[in-house]
Amino acid sequence: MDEKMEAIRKNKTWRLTDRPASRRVLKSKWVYEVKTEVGKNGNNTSRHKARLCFMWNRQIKGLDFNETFAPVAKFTTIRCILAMTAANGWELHQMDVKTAFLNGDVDEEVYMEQPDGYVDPTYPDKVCRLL
Amino acid sequence: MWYAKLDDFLKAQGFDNIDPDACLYLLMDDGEIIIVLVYVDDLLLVASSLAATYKIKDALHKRFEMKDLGEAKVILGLEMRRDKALGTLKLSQGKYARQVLEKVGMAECNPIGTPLEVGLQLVKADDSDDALPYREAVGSLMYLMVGTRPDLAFAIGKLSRFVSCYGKEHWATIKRVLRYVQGSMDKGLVFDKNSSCVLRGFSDADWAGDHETRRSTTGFTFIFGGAAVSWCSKLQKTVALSTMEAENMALCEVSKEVFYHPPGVREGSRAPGVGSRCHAVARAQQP
Repeated sequence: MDEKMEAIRKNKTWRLTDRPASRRVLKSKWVYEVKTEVGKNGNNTSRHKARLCFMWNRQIKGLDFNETFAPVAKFTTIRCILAMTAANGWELHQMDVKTAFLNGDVDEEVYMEQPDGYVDPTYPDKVCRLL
Repeated sequence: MWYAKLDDFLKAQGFDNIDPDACLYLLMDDGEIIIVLVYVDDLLLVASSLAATYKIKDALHKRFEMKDLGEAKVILGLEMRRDKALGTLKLSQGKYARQVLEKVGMAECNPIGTPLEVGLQLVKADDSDDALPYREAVGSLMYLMVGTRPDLAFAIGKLSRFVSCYGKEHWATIKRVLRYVQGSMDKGLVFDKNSSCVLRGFSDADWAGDHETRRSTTGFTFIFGGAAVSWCSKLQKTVALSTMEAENMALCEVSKEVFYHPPGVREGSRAPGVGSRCHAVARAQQP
């Protein structure tokens, strides 16, 4: 969890502001997951993952958000690219983004209550404005 | 949004967005080719040399917090296995298929050689038997079919018409499909460098194959680089009065599908109607 909060801070996900009068303030939740992985030495290790979820489902379209879009490639496209890769003997590598959502900007004004366990002791009444 | 940032970044690097569905980026520089394929937060990097691969990786690392996964092994559950000496790339979903069989408790079932009985006719059941995990099974097999298994297209197309009206008979049919999967788990698509890189489309239609509605079924596939890159099996929307009409409807579907292939692949594509009695030859041309 501390690791996640650090990433959130580093990415400037939000800024603390005064509670807005005319906007809704949404809540967030920590979601936990235990991941079992087979380590390099063949032992099972379990890793505890924590995820801070902003409750988007309480948003209202047009009021809190306008557009949603995620780039999704079609299977046909993937297969065509792989066929070309094989045909030309090209290199094929893969990368993933550690925190895709934290890299995005929110265009609309969205406010969130401070997450449980990480409330700023000096400003407990402030709320987070997502950036 | 993440995508907007990535799009800006790639364009600033000189990439062109060449795909109608916005996920494919191409850069041609000094005879080097770099292709970036985006799937939400997963990036597939294709490059004509290792140096070019590292160039784009470095640039991405500088801009975003990324994890380098090295040579691509799995994307969306599709396993990629390369044999550089032979020049082949195999795409399969063995691990996923095994999980599906385990989930429905058929991990130890006996394999069978074909997915369906020849000429099988199914009718809607009056009441769905909710105790049977029929929908889950259809859905799970669907992902297998969509990913790497054109051979399941007809069976899944047929069985998915009954997700709201299935009975024991349908369940028995899907169990047979699962037994077929058991015997062909690691089969997949093998692309190889010695095969033709001309996109070829093939279509066929049965005639009034569905006895209840008298509608025909279209089937088509596109072959590129030695294996299928897209395929489909679906019931036609209207009743065809002749085999010729059914074949033509199928041909129309293939012609539309051509445009869902990335540019560079679809140029010079050929779509001969190979239906048994159909002699029409359609040439899909780039507009």
